Amino acid sequence: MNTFKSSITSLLTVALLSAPALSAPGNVKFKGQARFVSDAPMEKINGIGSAVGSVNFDPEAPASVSGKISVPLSSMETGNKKRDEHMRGGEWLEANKCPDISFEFSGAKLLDQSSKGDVKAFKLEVEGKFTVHCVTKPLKTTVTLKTKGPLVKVDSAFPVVLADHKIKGKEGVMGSKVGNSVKASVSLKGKMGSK
Amino acid sequence: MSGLQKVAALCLLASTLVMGLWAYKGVTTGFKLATPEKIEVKTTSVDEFGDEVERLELVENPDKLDIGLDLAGPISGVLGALAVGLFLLDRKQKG
Repeated sequence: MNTFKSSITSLLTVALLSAPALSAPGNVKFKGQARFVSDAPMEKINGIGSAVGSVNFDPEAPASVSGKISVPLSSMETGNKKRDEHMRGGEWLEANKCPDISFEFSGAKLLDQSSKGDVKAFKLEVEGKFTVHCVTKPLKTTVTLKTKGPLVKVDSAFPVVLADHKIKGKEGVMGSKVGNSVKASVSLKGKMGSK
Repeated sequence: MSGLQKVAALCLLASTLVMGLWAYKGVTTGFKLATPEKIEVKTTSVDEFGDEVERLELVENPDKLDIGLDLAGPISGVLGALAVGLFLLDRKQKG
């Protein structure tokens, strides 16, 4: 009986000690969906992939946000196997050499902040380095970040000009079947204190 | 009408039907260059933050007749060429 009591006490102590750590600010591991839309005169292509990220975020100092979000090209699908192969192939994104699309950022400008119940919303202007096709370019985008207890949600959308990242594509295809720029968006969720 | 002519006419009809199917699907759901083997399914739900969120998922296209020009073009072309070839062969045999 005494062993049982001490076990319960130990468990309660561990639970109480770890509770603040779960909701503490810090590193957030994100998972979610990345999408792109290419709206060319001859065809509209929608792509879906999975996104993962690691972000340092403190709700008390949202402008100090930093982190990296990646989208493995292997997860990106457009609904047609052959087109997916072309997308990852040598004429387009060269997935064998450049397997990920990534956005690395450090610091942000707080544009707006609001709260509704226990949900806090932050609108941030984030500036970072956006890498596609092994070509890194500066990117400034608006990010909506929401928190509810330890839960964090991130949403962002921005255009990507393919020529900026030296994506030439097959001759005659760019601009007619594939847009010169695509609209990219990410939607991620994570939990503060997650490992 | 000879046997060859009948087969040629059937090929021509099939060729026209394939392109007609592509055009019909194009008019109803949008013209496609690539066959949509998978289609997007949107699910809308309210998340933990009280926001209405839309999630897209790619699922197998149940409509096997929903073809793109990547399939319709070559199939129709081969059938059309076969029809012309058979007509010419028939003319050669007769003449």
